[in-house]
Amino acid sequence: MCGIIGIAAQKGNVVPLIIGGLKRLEYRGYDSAGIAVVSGRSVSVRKGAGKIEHVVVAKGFEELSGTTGIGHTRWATHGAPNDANAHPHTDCTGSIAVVHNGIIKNYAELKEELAARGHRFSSETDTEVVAHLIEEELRRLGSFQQAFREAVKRLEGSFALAVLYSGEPDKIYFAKKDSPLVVGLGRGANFLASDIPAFLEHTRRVIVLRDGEAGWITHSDVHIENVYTGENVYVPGRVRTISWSPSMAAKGGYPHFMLKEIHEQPRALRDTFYGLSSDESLVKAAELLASANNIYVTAAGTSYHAGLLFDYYMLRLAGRTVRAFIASEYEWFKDVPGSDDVLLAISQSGETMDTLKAVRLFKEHGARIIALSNVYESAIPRESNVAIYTRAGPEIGVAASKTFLTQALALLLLASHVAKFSGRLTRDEMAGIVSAASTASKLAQRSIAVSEGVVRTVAKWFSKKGNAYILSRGIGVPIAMEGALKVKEISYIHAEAYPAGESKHGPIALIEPGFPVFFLLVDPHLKELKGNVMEMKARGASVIAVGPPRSEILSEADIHIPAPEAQPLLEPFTLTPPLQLLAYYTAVSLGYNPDKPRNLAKTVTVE
Amino acid sequence: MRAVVLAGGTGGSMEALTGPRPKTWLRVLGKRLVEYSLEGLVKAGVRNIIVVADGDYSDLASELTSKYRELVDLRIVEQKAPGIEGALLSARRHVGEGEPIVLAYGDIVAPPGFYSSSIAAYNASSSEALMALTPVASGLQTYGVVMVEDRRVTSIHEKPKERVESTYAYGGLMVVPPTFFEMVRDEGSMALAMRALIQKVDVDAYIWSGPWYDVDEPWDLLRAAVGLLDTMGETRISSSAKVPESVTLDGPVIVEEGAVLDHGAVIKGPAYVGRKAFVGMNAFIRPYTDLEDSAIVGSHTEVKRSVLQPRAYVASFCYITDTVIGEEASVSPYVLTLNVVPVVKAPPRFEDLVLGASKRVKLGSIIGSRSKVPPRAALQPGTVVGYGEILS
Repeated sequence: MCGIIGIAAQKGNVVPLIIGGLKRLEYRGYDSAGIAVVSGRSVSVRKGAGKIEHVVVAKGFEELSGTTGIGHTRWATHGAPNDANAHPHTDCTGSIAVVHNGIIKNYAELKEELAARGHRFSSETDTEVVAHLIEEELRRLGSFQQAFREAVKRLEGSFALAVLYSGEPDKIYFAKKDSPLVVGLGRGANFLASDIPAFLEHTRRVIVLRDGEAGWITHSDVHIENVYTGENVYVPGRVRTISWSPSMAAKGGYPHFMLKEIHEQPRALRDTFYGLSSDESLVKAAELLASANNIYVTAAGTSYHAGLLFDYYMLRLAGRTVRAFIASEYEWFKDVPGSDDVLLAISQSGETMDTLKAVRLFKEHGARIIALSNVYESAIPRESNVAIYTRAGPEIGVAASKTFLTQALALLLLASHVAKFSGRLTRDEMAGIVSAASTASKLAQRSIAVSEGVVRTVAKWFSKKGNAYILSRGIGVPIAMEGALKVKEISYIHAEAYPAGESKHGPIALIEPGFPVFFLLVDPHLKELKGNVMEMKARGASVIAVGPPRSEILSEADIHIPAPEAQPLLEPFTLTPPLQLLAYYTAVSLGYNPDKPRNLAKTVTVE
Repeated sequence: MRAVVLAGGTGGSMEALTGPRPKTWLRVLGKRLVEYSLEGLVKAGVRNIIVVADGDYSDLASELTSKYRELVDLRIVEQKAPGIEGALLSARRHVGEGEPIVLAYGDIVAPPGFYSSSIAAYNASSSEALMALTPVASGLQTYGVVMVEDRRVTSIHEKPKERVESTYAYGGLMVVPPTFFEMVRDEGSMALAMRALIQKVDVDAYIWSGPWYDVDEPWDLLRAAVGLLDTMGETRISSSAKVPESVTLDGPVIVEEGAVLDHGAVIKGPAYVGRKAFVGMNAFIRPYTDLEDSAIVGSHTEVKRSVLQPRAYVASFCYITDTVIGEEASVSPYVLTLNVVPVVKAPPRFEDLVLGASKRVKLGSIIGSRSKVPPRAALQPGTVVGYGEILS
């Protein structure tokens, strides 16, 4: 996810407006930023890595001035967040500048073809090929509009593009497919942006573009056509008036970011799956793990629970034992690592201080490091031998939701690759797991749909309780732990997760009539779980069964929260969303803001 | 934007309470059902509303037009043919060409945010249509159940007999292109027209997770009142209400103009006491009670989790719980409503009132409008006293 903006004004200087718009788009990504305006016969560009506020000053954005300009805030997916890779990107002549949100899938072929024709590239991004492609078409066709159209037609993948050309200094060209792009109609100025909040203070009249649409804006005109069919769009019929406030617009109409992010999980899982299926790093990481002497996993909070899933996957698929530990406990291991060992460090932000310390300790002993992060080239990936990335996009809610399931998916794929390298899985078996993993997105979608109604009501009841146990067995235990963490984090109800067999070794002493005990129904362990349910019922607990309808357990449960059927390896994708929704709706029932839990910060950069 | 509000629909299971009037005439927390959608639409910026009504609606028409005249261009038209299809086609010629239309059911009780956020979501999307959905816990077989993928509606299952993999009920609010009227005409039913719409254009799904109640049968009135009271939170006593010092008010309570609470009455909130309602000496009004305009509760009577429609009369020494009493119904002294039934016998939407408790549900009686219940009657759970019926 990135944010793009373009403004064409009749008079005045648009640079401050572009900077303001970029700040409002920061929630879409924030590792680098840039702007371009037309000045004379070329376009002037200022760009660099870092937070917008910082880059604006460091790179002198405000030295530029013009009536027409574009801007970009980046969340890296191809190429590290450095000055060269920041947008806008220009062609060889410096007369075309492009900002882009999305992923150009065929960029490697295009780049090769253009390089062969003598184009020189100065970044590793997929976006730069767009500038050179337009330049190439312009040389061939002469008309910029035609060149732009032909270039767009050759792009595969997803894109929202805004393009500046010094030959037509009042225009901004645009195109959209599978990435959002909105036109704003103002007085004396028209706007383009990835999302409505970017220009909401200037105008509320918008056209939300549809896939395949392209065209241009000037300060007074808008032209839209379908680039594939060539049909023109009747613009007045498409204008709508926005009544959202900027913060509602950023939340896409959801009452909170957390609910939005829970609902974004299917998309995040799909993006992560496709991102990783063409990622060489995943294979490299698997090779390292397959040849490792000992395998350690370190993480904190939600990422630690993903680490425990990895432990399970490695044992089941690759027959390897993995030692997962909580990062802040790294000192325990100070004499342990050997140079044949591998440490997998999991951190959404890639900046978690405890995890970074563990990484450094293992590095000192010569162990090799694999990083799993959601932020490209962040601190932990930079200090690692191999980095793999989830594609959850920025997560605003402090309590992790979509990052957990995307980590789980990445780790399932990683473990299955290790299993193939170590000969535990045949090529076909491995392909079977990969194809199962490709359904994670659908399963999460169905899980949200079948549980949300029930969970919303259960939450009203649950919000009056002070404690809960969340129990399961096998792969269900890390899921239960993640669920308990969400409940604690945002609904401030004390919740504890442990393997259900442990009840009689102590925790059952707390059970009294009405004490809520959630059971996650994981298929291979139903028989044992039934016994655990019975012992809780016998002491008056209120039993809530979470999972597909299994009559032997439902007959004993007080409440059933449904989830879809799934094979055991995929149960995190069906059983996690109901628990996230439970924590969310319970917090809302109690009047808490789930996006900003007390005492917590999103990224923990202190020890 | 223009809106069509479907406010027709008489008879059926609601007849005991409505008689010949449309059900959207019934009241919850001081407002008629149809006013919840009208207020929501007005607050969402809709300036042109057509209300389609049937049955004995002339009072409704004059009351609504005088109340909303200042706020919105409101027209009430008669439904010429039965069903939602008939209502829509009756509205058709009053609706302008080319513009999208908001289609709202008049029997939905939800706060104004339901309308404003759904319409705002439509305006922020590129799709030609939008459906508002809401997650529900129970009684899915009584709703239109909607399947969603990537915030788009993929299918709708009207009152499904089999389990559908979704808990999203159609919320009774859509934004549709004007061509939808042709689809209704061609397909012959609302359900088929909605299916055709989903096939022909992108329909965005807006998921509303706030309060929302579809009033389809009498018990839904109780669910709606309980749900709204649950989120009420404030205490407001009108300066023209009579509340002597000996009255005890506990928890959020609204007492409207001209209401009279007699000495020793105890009101435990959340509760609502409508305009000119009367609560007798030492009466006990327990949580989740909704007394509409000019309803009367006699002295020493206990009322819990019940809705009394305007001018309903409950005499002294009664015990009324989990019950809906219709307009001008008359309940004599010493009447009891019994209220415990096994959950298997409960109406399908009632599960959410009993979650976590035992496997029983509390359900009193539906006492029809203008009916009479004799002294010392003990009404079994789930009793329905018909419209104007005089029990002996």
